[in-house]
Amino acid sequence: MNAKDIIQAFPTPASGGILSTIDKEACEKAVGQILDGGEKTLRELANLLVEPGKGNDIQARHALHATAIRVGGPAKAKQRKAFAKALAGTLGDDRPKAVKGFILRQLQICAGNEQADAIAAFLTDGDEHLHEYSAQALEAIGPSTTDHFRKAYPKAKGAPRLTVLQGLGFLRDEKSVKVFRSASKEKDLEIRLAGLWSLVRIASTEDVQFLLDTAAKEEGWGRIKATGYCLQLAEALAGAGKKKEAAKLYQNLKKNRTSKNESHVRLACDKGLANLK
Amino acid sequence: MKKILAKTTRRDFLAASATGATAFTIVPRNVLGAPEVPPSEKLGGALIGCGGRGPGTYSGMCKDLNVELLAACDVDIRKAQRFADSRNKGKAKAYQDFRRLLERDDIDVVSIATPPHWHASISIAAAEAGKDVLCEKPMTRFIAEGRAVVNTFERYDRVFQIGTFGRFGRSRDRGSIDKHKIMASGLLKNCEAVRMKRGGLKIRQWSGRPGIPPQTIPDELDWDLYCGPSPWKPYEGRRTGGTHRGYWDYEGGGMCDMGQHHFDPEQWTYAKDYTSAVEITPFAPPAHPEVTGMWAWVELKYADGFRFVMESTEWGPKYDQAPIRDVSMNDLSPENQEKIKAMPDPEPLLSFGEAVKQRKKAGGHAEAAHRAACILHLANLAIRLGRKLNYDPDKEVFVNDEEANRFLHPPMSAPWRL
Repeated sequence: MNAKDIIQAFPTPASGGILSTIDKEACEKAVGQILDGGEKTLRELANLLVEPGKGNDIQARHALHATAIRVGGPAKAKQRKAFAKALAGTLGDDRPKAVKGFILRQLQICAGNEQADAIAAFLTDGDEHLHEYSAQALEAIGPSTTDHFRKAYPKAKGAPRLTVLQGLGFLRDEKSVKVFRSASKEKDLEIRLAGLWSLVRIASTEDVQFLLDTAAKEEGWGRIKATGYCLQLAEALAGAGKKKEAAKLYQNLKKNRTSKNESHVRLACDKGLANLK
Repeated sequence: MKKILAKTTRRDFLAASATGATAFTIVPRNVLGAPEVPPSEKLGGALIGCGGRGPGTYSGMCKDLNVELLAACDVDIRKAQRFADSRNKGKAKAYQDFRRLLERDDIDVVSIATPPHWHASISIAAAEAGKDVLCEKPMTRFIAEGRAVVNTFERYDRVFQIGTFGRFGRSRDRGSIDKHKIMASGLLKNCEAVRMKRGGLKIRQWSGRPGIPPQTIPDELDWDLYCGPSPWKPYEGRRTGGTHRGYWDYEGGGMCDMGQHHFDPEQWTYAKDYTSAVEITPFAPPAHPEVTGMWAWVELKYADGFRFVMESTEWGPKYDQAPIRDVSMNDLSPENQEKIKAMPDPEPLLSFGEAVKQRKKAGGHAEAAHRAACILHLANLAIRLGRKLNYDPDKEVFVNDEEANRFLHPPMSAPWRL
């Protein structure tokens, strides 16, 4: 069976535009047929996907997603790897970027490190938010993908740059500490905050003073968030038994967050210090 | 506008009282629970998310408190302006970006009624800015957000109350109190109770419509800010304005729209405010990637054997895995029944207003709200994943299911992050 016939098992919008006539058994059977058909059927299915507004691919999207979901879970590693490999292979085809975005989002569900190269090719591509979908798929795969973020960061501009930086922080990339510190001093507030947040995720005692000094220079929204990051770092250090450094953070914040609208910060510091005892 | 207490600001008082340094003479009357709060003791209030439930949620927040609306915010600036003018024309300011509103130091209490994909990020930021929060339900869009909200409100000792109040009635109902005590006691081993929610979860009403072509973004709408922490998608009107409920990116269908109303009081009654289910079993067809749809039933089993079941009644077969039955004293030995009778009743739950005045946890506090939201999220994840899930309620992860765990903390769009 070809993909076009297989996906007829999935519903089209019924009354009210919703998918209320869905047949569970038929859909599950179709997923099995897609998997049985291997790479050829999957590519046929990918070829049925169109840009939003350029045709009807409701069944194709539904079928592809259902398959990506159903290759996950315990004891399905072999099936999942084969499917993810074939799906990642369709990213290299000539397709609209919006369709590639959809494929990247399905890879976020099922891909492994073996697909990271294909996914990372879009990390710096700001069109149709591909950089975002690419980063999120890599983040879902996990810390084994940090090399890709590290390589992309110097090349990324604009929105992709912030996304890539945040990805490094999300994955707690210790090799990027210098990048994070440097970012924390940039002009762009969001880059600065992403840098500080990333340092907090790593939670090194070496960044205690740096975080305090950097956060103290922020105003408004930046100060609210940066102060919060300092408190989170204190909690992380306290949790790791590094009470002296945690106390330093609390004491510094308590001393320097003196305005009336920062009384809750002083309160949090008192609470944190009490918890250290 | 600055609301000043007689000799000290509310913030000074709150900070000092928490550290035990406040002299009795400067305690403001509202904190002491006096029936009338003088105008000089007004709190500054704000609403973020002014459409739909927004105005009602704001009014609910003001109950038991003397609040003056100082700011309103919406990604559709017209809605913010309309609400600001309707409640405090000329004094309340309209914003399109909640960050600017939270920077203000004269706002004490914030009501959040955006679509749910924004609830956690804004709640967290509000607490970081020192505000107390009443947040609409469902509390979050995914499970890791809830834990981050709990941690943040704990860190700053801010008050959080979820926008559903059924548990307050339960906490005054004798039958519910008795069930609560039985379950909280831990005396009931291998609990066989199965609590069923049959229908009422608006499955069809809040199913999304797939395949709608992208539309032109209205001038007054900041679409990127609307998408916020969720994955960016092309604009189409049904993604906003109430029908957002039909999209996984923003809510999670009728399950999330109505589920917290139903399960929050149930969770209190059956003493599950600090835990979650360990096994989640669904009966559902494959879910669509973008829009919410049909399912038949989901069973959530807790470590003590207790089960919540939700049956849609709008698609598929009925639940048939176990008989529906409640908890009762007869489930216990005579000796244990005596122990239950000797147990004190639980403390009365505090309303948001009382919690703000007393600087104590509200009845629908962050941990309870998070655990209630987990019921919905775990059920929806089982529906979306189409398989039985095993969950560790302490670590808040699925057991031996790496792909399922990807849904617990899906990466957020920059610059938003937990």
